[in-house]
Amino acid sequence: MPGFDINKDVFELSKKPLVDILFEANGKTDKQFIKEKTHIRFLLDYLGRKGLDANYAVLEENYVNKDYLKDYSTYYSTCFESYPKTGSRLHFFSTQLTLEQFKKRFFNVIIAKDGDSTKIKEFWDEYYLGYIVVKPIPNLFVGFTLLKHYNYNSNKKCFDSTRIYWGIKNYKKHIFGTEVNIPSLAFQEQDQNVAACATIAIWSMLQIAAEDYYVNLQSPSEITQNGGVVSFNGNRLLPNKGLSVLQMSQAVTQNNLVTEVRERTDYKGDASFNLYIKKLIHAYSNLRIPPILIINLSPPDQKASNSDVELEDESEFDGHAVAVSGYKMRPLGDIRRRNRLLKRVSKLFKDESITWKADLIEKIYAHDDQWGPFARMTFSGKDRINTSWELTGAKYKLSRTEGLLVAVYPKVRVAYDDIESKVIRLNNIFVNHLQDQIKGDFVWDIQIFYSDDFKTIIRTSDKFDSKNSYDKRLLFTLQTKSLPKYIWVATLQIEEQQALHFIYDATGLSGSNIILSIFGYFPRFTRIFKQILERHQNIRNTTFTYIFDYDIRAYIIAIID
Amino acid sequence: MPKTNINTILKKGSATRVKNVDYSSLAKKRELEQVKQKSETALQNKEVSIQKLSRFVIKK
Repeated sequence: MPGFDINKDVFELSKKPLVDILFEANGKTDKQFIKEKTHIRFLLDYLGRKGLDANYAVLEENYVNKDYLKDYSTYYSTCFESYPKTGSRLHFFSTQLTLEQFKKRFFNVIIAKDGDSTKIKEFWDEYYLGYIVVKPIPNLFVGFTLLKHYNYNSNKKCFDSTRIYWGIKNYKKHIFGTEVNIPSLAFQEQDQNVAACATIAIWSMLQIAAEDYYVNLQSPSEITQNGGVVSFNGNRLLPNKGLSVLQMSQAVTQNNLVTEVRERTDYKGDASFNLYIKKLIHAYSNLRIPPILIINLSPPDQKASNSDVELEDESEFDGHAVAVSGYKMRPLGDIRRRNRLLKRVSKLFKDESITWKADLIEKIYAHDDQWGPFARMTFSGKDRINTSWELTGAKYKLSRTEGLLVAVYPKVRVAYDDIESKVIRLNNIFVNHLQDQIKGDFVWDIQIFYSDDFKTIIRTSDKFDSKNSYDKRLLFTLQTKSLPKYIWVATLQIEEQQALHFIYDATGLSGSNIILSIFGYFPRFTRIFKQILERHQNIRNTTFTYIFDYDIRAYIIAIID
Repeated sequence: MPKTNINTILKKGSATRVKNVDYSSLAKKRELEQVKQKSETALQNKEVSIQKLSRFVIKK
């Protein structure tokens, strides 16, 4: 078995194109096919000048990948054709060094004794971009992929502070004998045998949750087989032709999480379905479990607009699933720009009377197993979304958002919708009593938090004055308050200024009053709110008391002032 | 003094007294009823019908 050869296995991408490297590393796929492959088109862009700007690649042959090995033992090993059980790993680097300088640095880093030296840290933290496992199977060869996200280094041209990648973790991977930290979310393409897009989306979703000791991280073939005994239509499960939402939920639940499913045709709210999707993605993002967005790639009206495509029955559609791991949010501070957006939104959806922070989400970044990691998707109108698929033809120009599958830990019993229902009511109190007196608009932000994370955010907030006795007392009361592991926090903002946090028990009982604590950054504003509640606590109007879950006193007691 | 300044969120001279709202008036009763309806609708979004689910075959 030949070993690593620094003169043969290090490539300058401007001299040896990625397609050629992959063609030789895989050895089982036609070169033209690789050139036209959507993943390669995506990677050339993602690793290109406007992206991570990769200029060197290093090939590591005979690499053992656990996911491929499991699928190999489950499926590929029993094929008549002989497929190897090891693949290759292709590493990418971005640096201004010449090829000879790079090779020299690479050599020295690999044999270095002191892993903490500045040059070695610079090599792995700044130059190194991640890797792709090239599976030794024909055509569908993009295996376990870990590529850093665009914001891994604030000095890079592709860095953008309005992008937030929350569905990522720090992978500790061993590369030529060195443990390297890679901030990313693992990706791989479907092989159409043991997994379709539904399975791969679940596989990406489970990456972070599996850090918890009771959540399993299975291989794609294991996830598919957890979806059921047979396929959704009674056919055999393997080779896999996809999963239904029910099967997806079963596969997730088998891995010790539980699922919340929402879908477009059952949506009853006044706002657009896209806004609802944005609210849900934003609300659950702090759990760092990528939700799965279900998309109809080619809805009937889209097909109808293309004369060469026949209108099909909507009971069957090109269902596609992607794992969402980040979003781009317009800055709230940019009031002028935001107001323009709100004006446009309110024109489209006249019934939406509450301003939600989540509405400022402009794009999402999702692992699309037929394109690549962190693929851009832009919301459009009430229920449309622009994806990379539009590059493959007019049929896919504008896709439709159909649903969202959110996986949560079983103890999170209270859903987002329960809190939104409360906020809709609370908003009425503020509008009635304080709308004329505030500068700007009320903006609501609902998010789930680990209570420890929330306490840390508050403790490190620059809104508190460490010398002010009121601030110190407030902080102490909150830090010492007994809270469950998961809390919902509904934050009332006035423009970009956070005014009040309503903390609810996310593990509470259905139908009970779950308010735990209310506190804010403006003592006078908090007291005004308390006065409003105290003045109205004896009202016998049940519709009014419904605003406070029929227990206005619980809200008064919850206020920390 | 706290770092947060109330003048950044409230108009000058406002909110010295809590505004009185008559929740027993017919107009307010109607408004509350609408809020209640909207709030109940938000809860209904959790209910996903079984028939619709079968349409979703994620295969692409």
